[in-house]
Amino acid sequence: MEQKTKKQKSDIGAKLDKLAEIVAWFDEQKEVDVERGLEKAREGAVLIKELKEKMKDVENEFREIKKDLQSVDEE
Amino acid sequence: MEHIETAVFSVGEFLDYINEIFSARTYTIEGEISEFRPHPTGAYFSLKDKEGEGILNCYMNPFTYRSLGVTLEDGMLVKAHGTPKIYKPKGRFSFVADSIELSGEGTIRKAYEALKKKLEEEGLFSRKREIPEFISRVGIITSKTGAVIDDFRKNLKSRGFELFLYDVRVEGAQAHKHIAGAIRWFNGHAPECDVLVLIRGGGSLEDLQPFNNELVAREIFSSRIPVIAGIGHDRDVPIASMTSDYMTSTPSFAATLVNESWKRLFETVPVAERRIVDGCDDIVYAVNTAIGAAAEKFISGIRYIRTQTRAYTQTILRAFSDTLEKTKTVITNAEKIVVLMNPERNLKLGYSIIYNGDGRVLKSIREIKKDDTITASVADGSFKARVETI
Repeated sequence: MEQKTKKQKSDIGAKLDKLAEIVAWFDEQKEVDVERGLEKAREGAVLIKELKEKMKDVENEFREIKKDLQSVDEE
Repeated sequence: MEHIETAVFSVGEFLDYINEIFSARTYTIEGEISEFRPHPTGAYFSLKDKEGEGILNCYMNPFTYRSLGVTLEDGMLVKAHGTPKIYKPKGRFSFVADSIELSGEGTIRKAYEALKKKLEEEGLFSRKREIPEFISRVGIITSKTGAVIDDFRKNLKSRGFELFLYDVRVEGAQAHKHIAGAIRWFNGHAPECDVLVLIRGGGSLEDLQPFNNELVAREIFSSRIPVIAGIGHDRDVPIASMTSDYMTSTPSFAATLVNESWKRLFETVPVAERRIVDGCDDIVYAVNTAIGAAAEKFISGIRYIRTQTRAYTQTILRAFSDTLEKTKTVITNAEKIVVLMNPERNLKLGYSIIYNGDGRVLKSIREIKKDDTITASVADGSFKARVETI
């Protein structure tokens, strides 16, 4: 579980970094490069989709953890 | 032997015969001493009646005289106890005294005062030893018959005393020898007593002669074991009492004194006991208080840890929740940008990209002129066109 979380985190981090690079790439463009722009947009879309899924997992896991901790507190 | 009336004796035989008859019983003669002559071979004196003409020559062997404990002198009224005897070599009739008692108040008082003065000057009355504490073995010197011993025992408290009674005569010519012998015995034999108690009921000066006797007084003084005297008396304190280490006027007081030796214990123990109990109470109270305080501290510690843990948990949860939200926002924002910046989307919306003849994207009107050929890219392809007007 812990390993999974760590892996997930590093995975999410790497994907976020990559996504940030794509966003930055778009910001830096002075001229329109349709092919590269398309390529970056597709790459970004994949990353966003994956990140959303990962976030859903993380959120679910966090909800479980929260529930556990709250039940311990109530004891 | 032939019939006595027809028998013929030699002088020696006759004297032996007479002496034998004399020795069959003892007599007590009262008279006044005269011509008293102490000599290494014995004491020689005469007894005479105060009134009348009777004179009796007396002899006392030196050992008996020395053990009298009374200094004889002319004029003393005495009771001599002994047997008559005819001294063979001289044919002289005499009375052999084996004991002498003073008689008559005057004589007794005079002898008492003289002995008191003598012993006082010698310092026999000034040495007083402490009565030991916690007396356990008591040597009692008195007569085993009579009320005195019962009186003494009745007044003793239950302190686990071991009592050793030496039965003596407390009155009469031989009493002083018994008493002195008893003191000597306790000092020379087991049981090793803590104290000797010399007791007797009250009596006149004449009755108490054994207790006003020099031999007894010296024996008390030489006793290794402290002596308590409990001798009843009227006016004149017995010399034995004055010589003892502690004197009381009755046997029951002597018992009280023996009891008193335990006084410190009975005074100290209850106080010590109270102190110990109080001390224990204090300790228990202190321990309870300390335990209470420690428990309170422990509980508040647990409460604090719990509160802190809860706070940390909430902080962590909040921080993680924030991180999640931020991450989601980052993703959402990035998504917006990616979507907005996607050239395909813009082309689909109707936007187109115009390139010049060199293939560069045209961004300003100033970059073209009339009749230039340009290429326009739209969502589903591209086409060429010529600039007609600007």
